[in-house]
Amino acid sequence: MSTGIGLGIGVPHVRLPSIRQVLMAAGICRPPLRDCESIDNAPVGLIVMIAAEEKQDGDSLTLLASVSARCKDENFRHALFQASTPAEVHRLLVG
Amino acid sequence: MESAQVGLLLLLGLSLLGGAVGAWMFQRLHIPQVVGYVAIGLALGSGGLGVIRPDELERLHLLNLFALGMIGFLVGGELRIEIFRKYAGQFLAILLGEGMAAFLLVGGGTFLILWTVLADTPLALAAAIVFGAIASATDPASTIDVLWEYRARGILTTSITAIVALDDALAMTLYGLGTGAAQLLTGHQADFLRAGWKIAIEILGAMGGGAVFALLLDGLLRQMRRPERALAIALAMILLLSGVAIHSGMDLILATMTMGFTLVNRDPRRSEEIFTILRGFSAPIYVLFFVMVGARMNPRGLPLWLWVIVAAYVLGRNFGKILGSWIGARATGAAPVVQRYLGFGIFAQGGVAVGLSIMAGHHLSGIPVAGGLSLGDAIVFAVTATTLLVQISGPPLVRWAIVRAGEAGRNVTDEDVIAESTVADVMDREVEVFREEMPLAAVIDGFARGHSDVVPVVGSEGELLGTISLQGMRNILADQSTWRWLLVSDAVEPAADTTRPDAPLGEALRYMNQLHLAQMPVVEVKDGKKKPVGMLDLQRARRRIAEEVLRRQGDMAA
Repeated sequence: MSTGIGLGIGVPHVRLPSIRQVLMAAGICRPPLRDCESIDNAPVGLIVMIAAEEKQDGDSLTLLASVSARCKDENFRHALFQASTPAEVHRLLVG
Repeated sequence: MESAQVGLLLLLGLSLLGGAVGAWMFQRLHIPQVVGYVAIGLALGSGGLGVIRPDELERLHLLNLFALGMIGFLVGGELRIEIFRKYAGQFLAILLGEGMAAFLLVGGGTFLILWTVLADTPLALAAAIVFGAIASATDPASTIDVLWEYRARGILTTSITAIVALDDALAMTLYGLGTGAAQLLTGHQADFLRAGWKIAIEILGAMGGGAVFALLLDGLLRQMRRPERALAIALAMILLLSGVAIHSGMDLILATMTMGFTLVNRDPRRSEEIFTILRGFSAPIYVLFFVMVGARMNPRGLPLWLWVIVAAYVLGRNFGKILGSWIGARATGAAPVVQRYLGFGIFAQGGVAVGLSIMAGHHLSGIPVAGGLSLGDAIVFAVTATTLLVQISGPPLVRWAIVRAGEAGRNVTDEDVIAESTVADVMDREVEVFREEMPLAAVIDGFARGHSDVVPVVGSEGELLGTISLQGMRNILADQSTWRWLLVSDAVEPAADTTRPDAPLGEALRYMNQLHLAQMPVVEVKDGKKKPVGMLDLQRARRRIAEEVLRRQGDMAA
């Protein structure tokens, strides 16, 4: 699976028949993981996991594109890496 | 009462089954199916096994009227005003040529025979005029049935259709004047003014009534577009017009023919659908109609001199049709195939001739001829016998004419090609496939190179995983950075709908239309896995079907 999208971000994603609706979970690694494969070889500090049902190809792709687009913003990435609570990460990603 | 009705139902079932089997047998012998219907009718009727009795035929008379109404409407739907505008002079010349030549030759021949037998000049002349008038009519039903069966198309087919549609009017005019003359010649009262008025009602009334009903039908069809409702409305209007026509003394076939003609020329696109539905619906009615035509014929027990009249009538009529149409066609510079073959395509004699002979039987029943027969009886017997002969010999000659003219099989439609094709005949075989682990950047390059918007995605063993489409990737197309890290497997859409190369094309296209699919992968199942072997693209399939239609029409023309 394509996961290490660069800029210190990993987006592991999967489509499985058992999933009912699109799910997303985020984790911040301190220190960042160094042994992750990534297109820019940078250590991965933010992991956003996405799971969708097999037929939800459109929703899953839209979510992947949206996460990628937001994470291109350096200020956004900085705020995420600095977040200290799950609620803060949730607010930044979903809000 | 109930058992009689059950008997009638059994009879209808037996007639339909027998007619269909007879048609199948005759088709195998390359004889038009209509001959099979008539032959089965003859075998079942009082001239054969006697299964269908005359009283039962009488009770089925309504069905015949309905069938004639349908036939008229469908024949009218074959006639395009632009063809009439273009060939009006030609059609009129051929019509007058074939009608008048048949009238004169049959009239002349029967006069000589009757004059020899009866030694009564006025009586022989009166009978000859009526025979001649009836001989000018051509049966549109069996002629058109052959043209449809052999999918004929071309100038000869158009000319035959126009002539058989129009010559009933000529026959009725000649008949109206002929019976008036016959009554005058035999000393019976005759009123030419009344005869003229009757002809006007029959012809002009039928045309006016047909046009009015066509306008009503067109208005209703604009409001009610669902096919089953449109069918009900069209049938209702045919029945209503038939009722009005019979009640008012108008010609039934001419009335419904005018309705079909007006409708198809007023709104060709919308009416095409209703004519297609009605053609499918009419098939069993046609079978029954022609089985009943055969059942009504009983050639046994006719005096010898009437058989001589029958022979003279058939020979004179056929020769007259050939000679007259050749003269008319040649005089107006018609196409060589029309000059050469049209006469052979208009031999069939049916409803109108039999109807006119029954009317003659009624009008002229008081004029005795010989052997206890009245002039009316003689005409009914002779016309029935000649109808049997030309109903059996006429359709194969129509087939011969259109085959010789190279017009058989040229009326190929999209539906014909679809019905004979499988998915493999029109699918794209050179289909690019994407593997699931390919990056989307390569896929987008592939889409830019290729001409398909949907591409099958395969796994490591070449098995179909789904499809990928530009439409499905629309949300990430703007963000080129995602193309580097997203894979085909991220954007694959499950291919729930697939078809096989050997699947009937019509079935596959119907399915795609129902689900609004523009493309569908074509797969072969090997070792329990679906492997893509092509792509069925709706638009390209339609184009290939259209090309095939043109190719077949061109082949036939060549």
